Amino acid sequence: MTAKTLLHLDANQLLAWRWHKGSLTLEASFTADPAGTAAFDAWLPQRQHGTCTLLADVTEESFLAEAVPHVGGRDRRALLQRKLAQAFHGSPLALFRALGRDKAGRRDEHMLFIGLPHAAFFEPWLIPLRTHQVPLAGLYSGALVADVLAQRIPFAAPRFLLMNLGRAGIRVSFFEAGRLRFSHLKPQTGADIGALAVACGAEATRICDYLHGQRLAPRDEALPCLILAHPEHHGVFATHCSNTPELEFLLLDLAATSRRLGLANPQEDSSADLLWLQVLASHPPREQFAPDSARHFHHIRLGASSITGTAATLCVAGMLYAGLLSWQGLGLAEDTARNQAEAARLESRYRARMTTLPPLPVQADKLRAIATRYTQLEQRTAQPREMLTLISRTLERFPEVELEHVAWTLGSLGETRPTSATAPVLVTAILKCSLPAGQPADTPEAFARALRENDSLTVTLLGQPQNSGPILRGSSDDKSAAAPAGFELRVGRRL
Amino acid sequence: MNTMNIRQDLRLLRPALLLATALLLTGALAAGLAHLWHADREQDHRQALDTRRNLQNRLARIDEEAGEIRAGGLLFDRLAAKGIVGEEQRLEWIEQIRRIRSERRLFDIHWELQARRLLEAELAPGDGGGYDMHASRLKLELPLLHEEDLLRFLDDLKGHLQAYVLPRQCSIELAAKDTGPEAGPLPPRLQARCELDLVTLAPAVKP
Repeated sequence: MTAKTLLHLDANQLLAWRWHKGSLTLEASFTADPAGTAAFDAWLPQRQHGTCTLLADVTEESFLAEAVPHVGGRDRRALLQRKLAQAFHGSPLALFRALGRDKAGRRDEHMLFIGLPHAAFFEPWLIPLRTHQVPLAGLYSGALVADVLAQRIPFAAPRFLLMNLGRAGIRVSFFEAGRLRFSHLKPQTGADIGALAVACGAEATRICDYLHGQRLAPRDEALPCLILAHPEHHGVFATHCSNTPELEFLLLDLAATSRRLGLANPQEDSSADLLWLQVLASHPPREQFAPDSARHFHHIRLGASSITGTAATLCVAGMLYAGLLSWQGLGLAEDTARNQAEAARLESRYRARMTTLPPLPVQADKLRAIATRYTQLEQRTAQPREMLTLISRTLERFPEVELEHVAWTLGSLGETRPTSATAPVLVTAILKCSLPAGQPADTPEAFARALRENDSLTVTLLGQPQNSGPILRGSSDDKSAAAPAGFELRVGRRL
Repeated sequence: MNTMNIRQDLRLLRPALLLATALLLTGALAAGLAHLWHADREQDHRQALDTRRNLQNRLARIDEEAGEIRAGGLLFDRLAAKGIVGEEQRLEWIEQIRRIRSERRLFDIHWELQARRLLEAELAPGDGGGYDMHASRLKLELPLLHEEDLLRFLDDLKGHLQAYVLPRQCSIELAAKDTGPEAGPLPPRLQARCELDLVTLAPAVKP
């Protein structure tokens, strides 16, 4: 939690407090006059960087409760801004809070308008803040802080008054259903606790009469009035603040309440100023009075915080991702080392086993490659004997067929090598045969069929006898009729 | 809000922006470096795992592999003994052809032995283990009495030549009838033409 500067302003002076972890330290004080504001202007640049929060403890604070038609969106905002301007004479230091809606009829919305009509009183203090670009978190009143405090004290009643003493005077705040309805500051000077107690009793009676007159509190029941006072002064207050049928005074231990709400400073008297500052620092009210223009540098500060916060988050995410990857990588590295050690052990076993082999003419890997390639060569080549023997045996069954020419080729017709390393290798033989005249026309086909009886052979008849056809007649002297017929066969075998 | 105010606001935001930039760069740098380091570890891990699995597989089939290596060694020794491994013995080849022709009492053989070249990879695919396969084309023309003479001649070449004999093409046709006085009492009946590759293995020469 970073340090904050709390500026406590009343009608007479401004006190600058430094708040850090519940401890308040007075840094400077300035009188509420031109000399004081000039000193404030000179002091601001010296203060440490941080956010300023202004607590206004002034009598000029107005409360207006009013029911307005319920509208939404821009219309609501415009309506409420108009109401604020009317209620507080155009002062920009004004705010509203919704108190709820009627349950019947037009269901109007009940609003509480709170304003500081004398904006000019604050200007001499706000201008130096803007000039020196000091972030102003907000401008709050003692009433708004009392509202926060009322929610944190162990007391519940439909309506009650909360009284506290301070440098500015006696503040009386009226709460209904746990929410602030109005607050009044009565200037009171003097340190005599007896006189203060008397003034408290009188002020409580006066406010109670006012509430009865406004019908804000019923006359037939006593209105609780809580007085925040130091325990040493409780006897004085008990003496001077007597219960009546309309008012019931209850004393709250200011020191215990301050401790409970985190104030580290010792509470030495019945002034609740330090408690108010502690509540403001630790539990700032949701609403505040300063317009956006006065809080410009605060917004800049928030933007900067958002930017650095987002970047820090992404940086941390990147670091976490890097950490995760590093952790995984370390695991992988360990596993790699284990695998490498195991591989070395296996390699050693492998080598030891290999040393039992007889001496090799070349390295084992090379030897395997040579053997594989040579085997490939043997498998992909052939000798002519096998195919020519098959052809020869078939020819013996066809004595009329005369083989005139045979051409054996490794590869298909016209190709003496396979087309690729994976293509099957063929051996092909082209047979040119002749038939004496007068042989049956289907002799070539019969010869081809006989060759096909060998499953490994594919046989294609390329040409038919030239003299096939009708019956030929002639004599031994007739040379033209005795001319031999020829045919061609292609015989293939896949290796 | 005018330009001056915007500039002033940006000036106020500058430290935060610089800090944010530094933080983002730090985070991104850390994540990026970790990512690269992790990728390296992953690659190392994959490599080590592959190596280990390969060795496990090799050990699992080490008996088979040892058998292969023994067989390969025997094959290599056989090829070396036959003269297939090593330099070409071109003069010896010619002498062998003459010897076979004489023993088989064949007619005159016309031959042509071409220059050595690398054997086409399609016929013997694969890595040669540092040995190249060379081939020298031998073209032959043989007059024959019977086609079996050619087959026996080729068998003899295969059996005795210090090379792997790889026939590429062979043709046999009826010989032209020669009735002249030089034809002899038993003239050739067939004419054969063959092209053979004489394949040898030699250590590859590094370019």
